[in-house]
Amino acid sequence: MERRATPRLTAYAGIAGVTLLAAVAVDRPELALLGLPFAVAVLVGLGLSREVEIGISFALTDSVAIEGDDVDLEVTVRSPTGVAWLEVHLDLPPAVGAPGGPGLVLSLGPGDRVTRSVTLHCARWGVHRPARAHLVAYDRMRLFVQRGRVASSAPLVVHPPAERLRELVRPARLQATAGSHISRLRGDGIEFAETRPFAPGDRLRSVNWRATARRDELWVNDRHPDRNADLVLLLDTFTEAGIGLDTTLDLAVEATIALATRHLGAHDRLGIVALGGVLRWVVPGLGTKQLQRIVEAVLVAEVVRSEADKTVDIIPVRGLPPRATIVALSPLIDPRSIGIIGELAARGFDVAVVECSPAPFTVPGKRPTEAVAHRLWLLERDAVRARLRSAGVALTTWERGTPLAAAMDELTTWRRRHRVVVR
Amino acid sequence: VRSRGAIVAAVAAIVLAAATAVVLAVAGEELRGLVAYLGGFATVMLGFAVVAGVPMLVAPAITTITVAAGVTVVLHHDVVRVDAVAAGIAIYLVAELAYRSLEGREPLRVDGAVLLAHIAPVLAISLGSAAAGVGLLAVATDAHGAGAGAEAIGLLAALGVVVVVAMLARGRPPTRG
Repeated sequence: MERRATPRLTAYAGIAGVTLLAAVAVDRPELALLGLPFAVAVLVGLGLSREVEIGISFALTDSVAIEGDDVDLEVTVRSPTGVAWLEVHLDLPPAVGAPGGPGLVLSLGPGDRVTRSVTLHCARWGVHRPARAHLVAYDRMRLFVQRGRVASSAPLVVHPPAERLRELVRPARLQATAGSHISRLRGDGIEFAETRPFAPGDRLRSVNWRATARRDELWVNDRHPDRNADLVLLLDTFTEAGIGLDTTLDLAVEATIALATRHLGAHDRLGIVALGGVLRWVVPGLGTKQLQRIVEAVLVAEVVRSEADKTVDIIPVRGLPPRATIVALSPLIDPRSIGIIGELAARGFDVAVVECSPAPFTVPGKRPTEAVAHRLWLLERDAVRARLRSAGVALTTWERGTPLAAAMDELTTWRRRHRVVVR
Repeated sequence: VRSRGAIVAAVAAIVLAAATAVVLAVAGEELRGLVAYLGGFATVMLGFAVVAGVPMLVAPAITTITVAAGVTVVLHHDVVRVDAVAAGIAIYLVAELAYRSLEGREPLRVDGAVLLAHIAPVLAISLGSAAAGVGLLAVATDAHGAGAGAEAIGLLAALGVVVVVAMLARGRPPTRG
C-alpha cells in the first residue's frame, strides 16, 4: 500500500506556520492562537501516525447463483498494527449490485481481526469477480493516507434463470446412435410404424400374431427406431440491443442454456459456436460434462465490437459436423450473422433460427419521421425473415415476457408445415 | 453519488465559515468592509471547493478566512482578543468539515461507534487548543510576567516554525508499495 500525506497536512502546517510567524512579526500572541489548533493537529497527527499493515480476504457464501439471487460476500480484515479508519471500496461489475452500498468502513486495534458481510445482488448472468477492492486507510488525524488494491478472489458464477422446454427441436437428419428422436426409418424401436408381410430375416418377436391369425400368413410389426441428433447452437454475439442490463444477448443465452439442457438430457450430441467479434466454440458432445462446458462457454459470452467481415468459413470444421442441425440464436441485426445463417442453409444444413427480438427494446420516437423510420426498420426485419424462410430456414421470434416453450412450439409447427410443402 | 455524511459536512462547513465571516466582520469595526470581503470570498471559495470537489481550494479558502481573523485581531491594538481562541477553533472545524466532506464522497456503511471514535480526536484537539490558548494568553498578558509570557509565546512560535519547516523539508513520507 502506498502511503502519502493528505492535502490536510500541507494546509494545516502552512496555516500554523504563517500565524506563528505573524504573531512573532507583529508581536501579537493572539495571532498564534488562530493557528494553534492547526499546529496541535499537525503535531499530534505526526506523533500518532505510523504505517499500517493490512491483510484482507474475501469469501463468497455461494460461488454459484441464479440471476436475481442475493449472495453474501464476507470481508475479513486483519491488521497487526491497527488502523483507525479503513475504507473498503468494492469494485463491482455493473451486473452485480450491493443494495447496502458497495463499501464499508472498519476500525481495528493492533492484532484485531474483523469480518463483515456485504450482500451482493446478482442482477445479470455471467462470470463476475466481485471481490476486487481498493483500500483507503487514514490515520487518526487524517494527515496520512495509505491506498492499495486487492486482487480478486474466486469468481461469482451467475446463471441465467432457467427456462424449461418440453419439446425438442425436431432435426431434419438423425444420427445412427440411440436417442430420443423418432426416426422415419424402420428398425428396432418402440414407436409402431405399420404391419407388413414376414420377410426372411425378420425376428420372431416382431410377428403380429393378431394380423397373422386374420390373414393366415405371417405378418410382422415395423417400428421406428429412436435416434439421436447432432445439434449446434449458433450464438450471435456480433451485436445486441437492449435497455440497461436486459439485452437480446440475455435472451439468446437463456435460450441456449434451455436448449442445451433439454437436448443433452435427450441424449443428443450438442455443441456451440459463439459467433461475433471473438469466435468461441465447443465441439459437439454428450452428457452432463458437455452441459457444464457449454454453460461455462456461454456465461463468458459477450458482444465484442468488430468490423471484420466474417463469413461461415471462420467456423471450425469440428464445430459443424455433417448432418448437424443448426439452431441460431440471433437478434437478426448484424448483416454478417444473417449472411452466415443464409449461407449455412444454402450449404444444405438444417437451420432453425430463434430470433431474440430487439423490437420491444426500441421505441418509435415522437416525431413523424422517427415513427416512419421505425416502421421501415420493422418492414426491413420482416423482409429478412421472409428471405430466410424462403431459403428453408425455420424461424421463430422470442420476446421478453413470453415463454420460450411457446416460441419453440411455433418453430415445431413451422417445420412440420414446411415439410408438408416440400413433399 | 454523494454520501449523506459528505453533504451534511459540506453544508456544515459552509454555514460555519459564513457564520465565522459574519462574526469577524462585525468585530472588524473600521476595517469591516475588508474583513467582510475576505470572509465572504473565503466562504464562496470554500463552497465551490466542497461542491465541485476541489481539495486544492480548501487551503486558500481557510488561509483567507484566517487572514480576515488576523486583521480583526491586529485591528485592536490595545485590547487582548481572547475570542481569537474561538476564531481559531472555528476555522479549524471549518477546515476539518470541508476535508471530511471531500474525503467521504462515496457512500459507505459506517458504524456509529467507528464514526464517534473518529470524530473524538477533532473535538479533543479543539478543546485542548482552547484550554492551551486561554492559558497561553493568560501567561502572555499577565501584568507581572508579561515579558516572560510574550517570550514564551515567541519561543513557541519559533519552535512551531522550525517544526513546520522541518516537516515540509521532509517532503513526502517514506512509502511502501
